[in-house]
Amino acid sequence: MEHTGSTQVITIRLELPASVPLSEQEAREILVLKLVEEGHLSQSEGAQLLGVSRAELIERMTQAKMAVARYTPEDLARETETLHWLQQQRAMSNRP
Amino acid sequence: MGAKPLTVAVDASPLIGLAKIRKLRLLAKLYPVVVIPPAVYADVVVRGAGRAGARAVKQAVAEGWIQVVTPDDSTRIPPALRGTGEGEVIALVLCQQADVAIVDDRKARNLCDLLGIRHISTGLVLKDAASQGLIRDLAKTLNRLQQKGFGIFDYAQLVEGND
Repeated sequence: MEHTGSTQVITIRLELPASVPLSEQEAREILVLKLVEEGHLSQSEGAQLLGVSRAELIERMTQAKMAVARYTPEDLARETETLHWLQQQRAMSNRP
Repeated sequence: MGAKPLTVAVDASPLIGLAKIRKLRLLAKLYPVVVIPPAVYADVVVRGAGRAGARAVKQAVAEGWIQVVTPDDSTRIPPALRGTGEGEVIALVLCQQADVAIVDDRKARNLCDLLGIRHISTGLVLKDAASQGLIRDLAKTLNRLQQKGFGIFDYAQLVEGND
């Protein structure tokens, strides 16, 4: 995947107690998936960072009990409005 | 709207979700024109080879009911999503090559809201299908999507008040 040269990156170092039963790779994955769920990274960006396909990312988010698509009352209200608009357009174009 | 048929631009996630429950064709039944940008095709069919959606999307493009369309103006891709499928989907709507974006992830949906772009997500596509009689039991279908590894954990809200 190509990126423009302007993309800035930050590097995070995190020291965990050795008793935490996670490999570095696993801890990294939890962080990336959470950042996708919260909207700090898109699915594409998350998949790139983990070196997996979109389909794998979706499955890993689901396994980690993170939502691929979350529906807050605000989401639902906004998208239902668009849905009604779509249905209106469809009804208009079906009219002879 | 004028003479241009209603067009939806779809991101990888809804394609993968619908393909998981073998409902990709709902898009063709619901929306006159279905387009995806090259980055989404690459995500699902090329990088996702052998995984959910790869075969179905490749076939849909071969059959012509999903069209791969490049945004007319790549400078319209939001800087926060440069080089991503979500970014190209949003650019297609900004370039007026599509009317509505179908995206799932929070970052893309937030950006659509910020840019004033109409958008829906996988759950709403299924809700639309249910309202058109293309799906008999919305709750069951959403549950199956979840079982297939596509997490919509608060899907009960989607079923409430279904018309």
